[in-house]
Amino acid sequence: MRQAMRSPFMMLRGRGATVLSAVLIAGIIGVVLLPGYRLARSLAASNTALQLVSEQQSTPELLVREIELLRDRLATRSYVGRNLEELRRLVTSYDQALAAVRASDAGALAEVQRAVELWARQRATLEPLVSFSAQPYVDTDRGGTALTPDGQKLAADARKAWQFVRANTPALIGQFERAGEYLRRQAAGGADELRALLLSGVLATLVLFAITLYLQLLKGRHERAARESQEQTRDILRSVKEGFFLLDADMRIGAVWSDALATIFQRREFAGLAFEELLAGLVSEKTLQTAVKYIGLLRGERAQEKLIKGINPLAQVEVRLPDLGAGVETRYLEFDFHRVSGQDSIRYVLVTVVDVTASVLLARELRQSQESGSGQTDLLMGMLHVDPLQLDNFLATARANLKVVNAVLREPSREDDEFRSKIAKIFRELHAVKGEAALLRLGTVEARAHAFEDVLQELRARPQLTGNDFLPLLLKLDELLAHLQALQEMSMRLLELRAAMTSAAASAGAARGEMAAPMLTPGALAEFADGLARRCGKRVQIVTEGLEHVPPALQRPLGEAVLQMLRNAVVHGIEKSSVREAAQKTAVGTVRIAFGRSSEGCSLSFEDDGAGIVADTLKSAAVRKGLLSPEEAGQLEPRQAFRLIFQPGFSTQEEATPDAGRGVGMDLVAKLVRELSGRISVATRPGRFTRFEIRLPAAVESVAGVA
Amino acid sequence: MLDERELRTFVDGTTNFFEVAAQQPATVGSPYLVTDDRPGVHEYTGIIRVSGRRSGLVYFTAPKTLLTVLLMKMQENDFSHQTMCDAVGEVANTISGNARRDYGKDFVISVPTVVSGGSEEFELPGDTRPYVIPINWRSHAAKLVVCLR
Repeated sequence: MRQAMRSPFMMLRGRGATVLSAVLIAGIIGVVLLPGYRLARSLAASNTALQLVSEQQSTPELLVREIELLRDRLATRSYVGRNLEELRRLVTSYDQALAAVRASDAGALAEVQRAVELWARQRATLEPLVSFSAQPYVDTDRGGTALTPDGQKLAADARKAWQFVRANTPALIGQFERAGEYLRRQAAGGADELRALLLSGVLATLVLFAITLYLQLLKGRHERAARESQEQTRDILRSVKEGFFLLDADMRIGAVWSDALATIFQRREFAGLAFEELLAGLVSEKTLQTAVKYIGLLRGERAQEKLIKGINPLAQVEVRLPDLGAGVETRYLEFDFHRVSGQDSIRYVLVTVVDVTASVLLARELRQSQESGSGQTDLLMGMLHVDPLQLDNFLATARANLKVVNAVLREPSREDDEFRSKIAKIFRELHAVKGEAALLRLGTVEARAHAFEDVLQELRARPQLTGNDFLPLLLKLDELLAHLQALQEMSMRLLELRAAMTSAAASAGAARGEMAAPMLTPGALAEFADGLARRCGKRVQIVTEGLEHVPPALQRPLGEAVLQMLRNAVVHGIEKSSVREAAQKTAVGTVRIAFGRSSEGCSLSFEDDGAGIVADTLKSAAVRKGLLSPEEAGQLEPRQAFRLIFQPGFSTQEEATPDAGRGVGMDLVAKLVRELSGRISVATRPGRFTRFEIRLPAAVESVAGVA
Repeated sequence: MLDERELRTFVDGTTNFFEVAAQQPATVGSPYLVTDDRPGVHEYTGIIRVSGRRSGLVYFTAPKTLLTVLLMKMQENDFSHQTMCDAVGEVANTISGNARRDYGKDFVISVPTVVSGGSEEFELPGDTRPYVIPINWRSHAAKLVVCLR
């Protein structure tokens, strides 16, 4: 910018100096050289004239003597040819000298004029002598050599001329001397003038030289400044992180661009490259066309630059560029466009390109981190109420369940019935996870397990199953495993935190003590039932007996079974308070869970004072779900109908909720009992109660312990 | 974590290959996760590496018997090692083409590479559970492994 301010000033000074030197050159030519030339010519003419005048100074006297000689020779009848010849030479010479003097500056002098007049008169008297060509003598025998009549006339003319010339010669010499004097003065003056001219010429030349020197200096400075400016521009273009270039009216890149451009676009040559070529393959065709239109709009005089900035389609764009490893990587670029105006139109569009990949990725990472942080906080908040050891226990079991799910998936299958059988097995495992998660009030796990079950439920309804249909299960399983992993990590952190807060030994001791903390605690069951009842708009109380005697080996299987039965009882059995009161029952439903041991084994009784099971309702549901035909249902005894509740996928509920409706719960109970080599029976009275009795053989404790 | 559409792109790419090249569709077996081990390979494996929104690799691995029958179905008389490699590479290429078509903007996919002889000397991305999708064609079994994060 500073450079741009100084430049016009320097240009003005440079222009002035150029004009001055031109004026000086013209002055030197007009005032020194041309007058000098003229003066030199005049001086040369004067010198020539002066030389002639000097040379002819003695001519008049020579003429007088030559005429005297002619006269005397004529008198003595001597040979006069030579005299006449000399006379002609002198006259011609004097003629020429006089003509030269007249042609010189001295020609206008009165002395010269008078000399010319005098000479003219002398010339007239001399003419008969000069022009004489006859024979002056004649030889006779009588008188010897005598003058011819022409000779006599010549003699007379010679006498006449002698008298005239002798009389006028001093005047003529005087006039010539004065003319000579004048010419000498003239020459001297001319020489002085020429000297002065030469001097001024030298001075003007010196000034011209000085100006030229100054101009050179100025030019040198200007060039230095321009070079410096160019170097600075080059340095800027080399150093900036942004890619800069100019687009001309044809949307081609100009001759200058910043080095960063090469790094950004992984290419070297840009000059003359069309903007479309630059971005071809990097952005979608649609984006490219929109960008071209945008630049066209920007070049239009009418559009306001600031206003249309908002619609820049390349404000931030994802591109695929070659990476150093000859592959391709995704980068994020920001393009900015500015008009560059000329005197009367928009000359260029300045394009700025910035690689913002790092910022975009950082922002994304930050966002993910925030989301993850927020997710982790939610996770933390959702598990803070759970004892870490119980949680650890749960996670281990859940992982084992999901491992079974994956093992089930892994069994090779090609046929529909094989896939259906997998669904039933997976359902059971998931239901166990969901049940325990609900008991521990781990909502996030419960929700995911429920979503998994939704997919299973949807698959079960399909007429034909293939492995393709199982792809969503894979994703759900992966998601659930990832979630459990996150919980595990969080649990570890919690444990570490606790260990740090208490002494390691006490913590470890406490941990060991609580490790065997039973699932079947009245408090946990009451809490679970409470939450469940609230969600269903019901009220329930738990009455337990002997649960503290459940051996550790049976804690988990019986715990899972109780959870499923409890869920079933609250959702399907216990009525809402209003219904109960209308039926003369207490507003709060009661669930009794009792465990007992004997020499034959152990038993668990689970009873609710709810609506009981109605065989017809079970039959209708079985028909609705396609498990039985109407005819088969009609022939079914009530006792047989009750067994339907242990069928995989059987539920009287139309819509599944997180709490029930999958038809998995009682199936899972039956499976658990089977695995423990036990039996389960059901007794019910509609409107009054439902009771399940689980009987397990004595040997089961050790088996379950091993399992 | 992958979404279902992305996973299907790779699976469809594989089954489409058999449909088009051998005029006999392949079916998808029961898919599963690999949690503790490597997914395993057959004799010929075509691998594509993915970067961009997801990173990792996807490979199709098949036994020689499957590829022999496949080449026969494709009217090919040359059953050399190189032709087997070309065939498995072609499957990987079709998978890659399918993914490019659907996720060209998000996925950057490498040129397929082929390993043979049951070699599993290629890096799987850490912190992922590879998805194994059994591909059944006629009486043969191959598998597609998707291991992306």
